[in-house]
Amino acid sequence: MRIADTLLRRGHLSEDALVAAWYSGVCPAHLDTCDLCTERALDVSRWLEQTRELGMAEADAAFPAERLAAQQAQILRRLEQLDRPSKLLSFPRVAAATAGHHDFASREHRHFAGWILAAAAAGLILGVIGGRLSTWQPTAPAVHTSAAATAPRTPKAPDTLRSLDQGADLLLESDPGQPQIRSLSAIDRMTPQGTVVRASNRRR
Amino acid sequence: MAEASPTPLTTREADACVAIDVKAHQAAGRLDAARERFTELVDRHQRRAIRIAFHYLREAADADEAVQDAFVKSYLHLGTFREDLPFEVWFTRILINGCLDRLKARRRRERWIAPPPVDTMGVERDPAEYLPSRGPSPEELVLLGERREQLSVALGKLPERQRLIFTLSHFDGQTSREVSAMTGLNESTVRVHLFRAIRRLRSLLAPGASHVKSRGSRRAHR
Repeated sequence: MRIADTLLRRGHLSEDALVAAWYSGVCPAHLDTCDLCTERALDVSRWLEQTRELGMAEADAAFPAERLAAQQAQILRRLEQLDRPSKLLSFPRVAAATAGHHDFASREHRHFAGWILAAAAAGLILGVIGGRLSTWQPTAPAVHTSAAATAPRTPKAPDTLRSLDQGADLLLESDPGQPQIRSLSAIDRMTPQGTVVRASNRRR
Repeated sequence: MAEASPTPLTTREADACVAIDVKAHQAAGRLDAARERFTELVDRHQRRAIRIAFHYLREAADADEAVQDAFVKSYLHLGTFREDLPFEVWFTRILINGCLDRLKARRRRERWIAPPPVDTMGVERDPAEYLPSRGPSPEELVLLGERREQLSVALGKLPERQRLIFTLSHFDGQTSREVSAMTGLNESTVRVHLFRAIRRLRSLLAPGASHVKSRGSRRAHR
């Protein structure tokens, strides 16, 4: 028995001593002789038992078997991830250089890729040319003439245009460089000249 | 002539055997085998680890993560484990250190973040509480829940060190010498903290102590 118990508690055991007895499992001799301390020891023991049960039950309720199994699976997953060597992704060109890129497969691959590029370029060029050709419109004069046909006719051409026409006719009729074909000269003589026709039209 | 059956290994010896095997597998690069063998240690210590972490941290989610971290750390650093010491003590030390780090982080976090919403009784509500459950009758559940909550609140009111020592001694059944080895505290200091914790808990959980029931944040069962 401790001195403090002897002096302060008239020989009775302190609560700490009762707790220590419960934890150690060693029963103090005083408990055999003192009913009061035995009663207190039982009370402490009951309280400690209940608290332990409650505490364990609380933890077990928060972590049922399913949750523990899930936790174990999670632990194993994490360990597996740690054990797996990490992958380093290197830059492709560097990787090729380090791998000694003279193997047959890589050469074949590059050759094939070259052909694909050439075909794509040719296709592009052909496409551009085809596009240009399809947009080129040989019917543009026809469109112009049709537009002229649909447009309202002016009764008289302007003077400047008329004089230009006359000049062109004169040039055609008196072109010295024009080849003179004898067989056609008779027909030429029979055909009235443009200037004459125009002059007669004017007189009318 | 019947052969004498080999004496069964104690937990400590069995742990040491497993640890030696795991180390050997790790060294030989047989990582699958190492993990598989390590599962035995997880099986043996998971339940008690979760009890310690749960009572120390007072939060199920935190306890879950702390236990996971402790097992992962112990697997990674198994090379530093000495087989002449109990694995239990070594592992519990790792677990306690992890829990302490989490408590510190929580304190820092709580300094800046508002506390979780509480109901009119000042108790944090957990959606899981509204789910139907199996087991004892509703009355028993209510009583049990009340008592658990009282204990939980009372434990939460203990200083951290007292709570840890009480948890290890009372819920985990460790002797003061073992707790001393796990926490690095003097044996007599462990005893003093344990007695103080019990005295305080008994006063908090005494029939007339209504202040335990009314306040306190409940974080468990998340």
